[in-house]
Amino acid sequence: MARPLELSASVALGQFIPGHSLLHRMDPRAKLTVFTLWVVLSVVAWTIAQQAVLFIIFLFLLALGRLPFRFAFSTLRPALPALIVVVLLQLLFLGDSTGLASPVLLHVGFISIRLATVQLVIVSLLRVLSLMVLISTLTLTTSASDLTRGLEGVLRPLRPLRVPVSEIALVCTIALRFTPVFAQEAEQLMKAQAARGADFGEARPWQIIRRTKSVLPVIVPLFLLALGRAENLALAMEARGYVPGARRTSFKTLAWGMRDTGACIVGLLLFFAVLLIRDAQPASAAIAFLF
Amino acid sequence: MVDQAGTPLIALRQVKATYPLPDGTEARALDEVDLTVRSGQWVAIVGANGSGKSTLVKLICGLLLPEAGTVLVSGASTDVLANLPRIRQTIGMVWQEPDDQIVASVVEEEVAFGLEIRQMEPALMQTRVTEALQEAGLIDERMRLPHQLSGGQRQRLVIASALAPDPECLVFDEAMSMIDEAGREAMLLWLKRLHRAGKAIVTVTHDMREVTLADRVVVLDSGCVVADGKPSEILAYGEKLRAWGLQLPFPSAVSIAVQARSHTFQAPTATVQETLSAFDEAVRKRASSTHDLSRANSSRAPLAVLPRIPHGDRASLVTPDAAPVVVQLRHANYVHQAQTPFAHQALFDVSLQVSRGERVAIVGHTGSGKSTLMQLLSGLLVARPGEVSIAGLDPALRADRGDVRKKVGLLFQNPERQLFERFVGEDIAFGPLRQGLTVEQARERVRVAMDAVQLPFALKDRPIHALSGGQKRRVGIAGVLALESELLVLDEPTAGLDPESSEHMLRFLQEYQQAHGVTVILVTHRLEEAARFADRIVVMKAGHLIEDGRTADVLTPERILSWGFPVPDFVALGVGMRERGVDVSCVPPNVSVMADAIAGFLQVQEGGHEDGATTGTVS
Repeated sequence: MARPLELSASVALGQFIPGHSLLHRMDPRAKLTVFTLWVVLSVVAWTIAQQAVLFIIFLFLLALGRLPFRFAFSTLRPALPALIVVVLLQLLFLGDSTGLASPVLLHVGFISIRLATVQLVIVSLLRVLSLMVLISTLTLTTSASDLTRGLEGVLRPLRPLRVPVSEIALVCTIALRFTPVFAQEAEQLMKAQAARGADFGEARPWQIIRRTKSVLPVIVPLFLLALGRAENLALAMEARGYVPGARRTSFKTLAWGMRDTGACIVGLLLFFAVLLIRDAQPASAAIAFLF
Repeated sequence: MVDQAGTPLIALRQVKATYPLPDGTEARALDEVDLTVRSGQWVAIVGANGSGKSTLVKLICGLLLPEAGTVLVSGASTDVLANLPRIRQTIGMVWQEPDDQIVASVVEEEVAFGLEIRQMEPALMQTRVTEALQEAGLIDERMRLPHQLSGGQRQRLVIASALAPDPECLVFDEAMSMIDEAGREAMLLWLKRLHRAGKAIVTVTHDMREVTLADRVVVLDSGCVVADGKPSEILAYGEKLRAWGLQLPFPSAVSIAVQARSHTFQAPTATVQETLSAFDEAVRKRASSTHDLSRANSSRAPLAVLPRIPHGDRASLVTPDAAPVVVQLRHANYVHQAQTPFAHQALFDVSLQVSRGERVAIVGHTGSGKSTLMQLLSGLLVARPGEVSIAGLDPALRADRGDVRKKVGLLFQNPERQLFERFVGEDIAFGPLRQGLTVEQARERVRVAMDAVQLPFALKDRPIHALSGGQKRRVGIAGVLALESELLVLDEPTAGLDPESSEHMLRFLQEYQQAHGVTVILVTHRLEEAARFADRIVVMKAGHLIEDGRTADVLTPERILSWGFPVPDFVALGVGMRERGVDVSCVPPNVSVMADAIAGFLQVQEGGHEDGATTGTVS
């Protein structure tokens, strides 16, 4: 059965699911702080055990936000082919370059797979999954407007350093506002070009050149449309009296509660706790056994 | 406050403006324009595409400075930087495309954006935002995201945002062209209310139906003010408006045409009601001049408002039973974003059958499911559940899909925005080449298609960006015609065109259909367009197919109202005339046919009596 050309269905960014869970009610500044902390943690964590614990914590967050698991993971689908290619390349060609003296598991021709390579691949795979779940959780429980207000709040201390904090926030707002608009536009363009015989749904995932070529009829007009919209928006904003850099009051004020302080403390504690986890030996043993 | 008689709200004096052309030279946009708008006045600025309207709007709100002359807003010149905040406070702008004006990602924050800029206290802001949203009827949507609103709602949001800072004057630049008929009606009522509340209003438009509400109308033609006066004075220009690229509202055009045939008729009229009154008046005059009151039959029992069978050219129409079926839908449903939390059903159990050679119009408001239906009919989407068959093929099968694409030519809205190649010819040839034709064959297809849209074949080597907007649209259409498909599905092919170009476009499509015997499905939100073009009308409402019948049969006021459409002028006038005993059909809408019938009726009355009446009434 043909998959319909529905781009808006696979754009998770800005797809906020309203709700009243703990995660929904948290102050966006607290959310952003904790999430940033964990993103850093996920990037620096180097052992399988650490990544596994993090992944489980993040899945728990998904449940805490009462989010549909299937939908959170459906955003993974477009990235899946690329992910598989990267994993295979790492597995096959990383070989001896890891510099770690670890036992060779498999040796065919010039390809040799070492234990350390397999561990590395598993860590990076878990890392990507974790980050995706984390980002989905954040965007699905936080409205775009809260997200940018949170960002503005978190960045506020940088204002004395002449960082244009409210402009950065406005840029983010506009980017989030136009994401669904461009998704709809791209969908429309894809359909229009498909109707003229362009092949979007037809190319198989591995036909990379064919796939790249097939998006040209969409990218070119989309780019022109975006430029036109940017120009119109700038005019409209100017006509409304917007002056870059000028002071503005804020319609919505954020309220920091006990719950947010608590969340930050828990987030920080987990951060250090995960850092302290040492690699469990059984994991390496299990991998060695598999081969 | 500004003195009513003293300083005008907006004053343009001897304004000149130019704009740069791609080849480095400059073109004149405005030439020695004088214009005054006083507090509380409603001024309509009309002109065809390219008459300088948009430049004028940018000058008024200080986004552009004149080359010569001055622009004053409440006495403050727009070329002094320090005046700009005050000018922005005085004038609220509403542009054509709502999506290009909405900054914030939540409805209420969008309204607040203009207030945040003005550094309003948060408490006061809350009240202002609530008031503006209530005024716009969007109070229940305040927490929603802009892209979840309908087009009409989005435009109302833009107006609410312009209104919240309480400007003295609102300027609308083609702001009605993007919304459907029902939305337009509501919007005009809202403008009337604002006008009564004392706001000055400037509407810039090429739709003459909007000008009858204004206090004053200014006509622009290639950068010059060519007429300025009350709506009735402007309508009196009659045929001259056509030379300026404008089109008279249907009732006005009929009244002028009747007057040309029968001099007693009072013209021009602005509305259907006025035209009917003018008719009654003409009948009464005849009656009193002939002393035969029994003939003054304006109160005669109305004929049954029965649809008339169209005559003449329409009789040759292929009947659905005889011609082979091109598209068939059986109990088709469709859910957008199925299996996600954002799923919504766009079509409910739609069955439809279209035969070869038919001209079908699908009408409905935004969100009625007409564009989903269009995509099912052209095989882009697959009914779930339901059965679709296009020229005997099943688009749900991968094997059939390529062939389906060859059978159906689908033209999306704004085809000029979908061009992607560098040269005209390349873009038109894209479809034929994808069908596997040789370069020679594709070249021939390009030639035929360009010929069909009346573009010279030599233009094929021209870079696309060097074409005008209207030429680009024709290139887009040629790109679809070059597929030489037996079914053409056209989505709002006239959107954004001025009335004259729209009429050309429809006539051309009709001629193409007749010459090639193809099947055409036209998707539109304008009933007048449907009535002009199609033999058959299919109406969509909230995902359901609620009407499917011959154009001449279904266009009755009762049915139209039941679809949620306002009754268009050509139907209201036709029905009003039939109730008065004039033998006229309102489908297809045709000014001269209706005028002939009305004048004929008046003359028959006259002919039966003393001939002196005719000569006596001419003044």
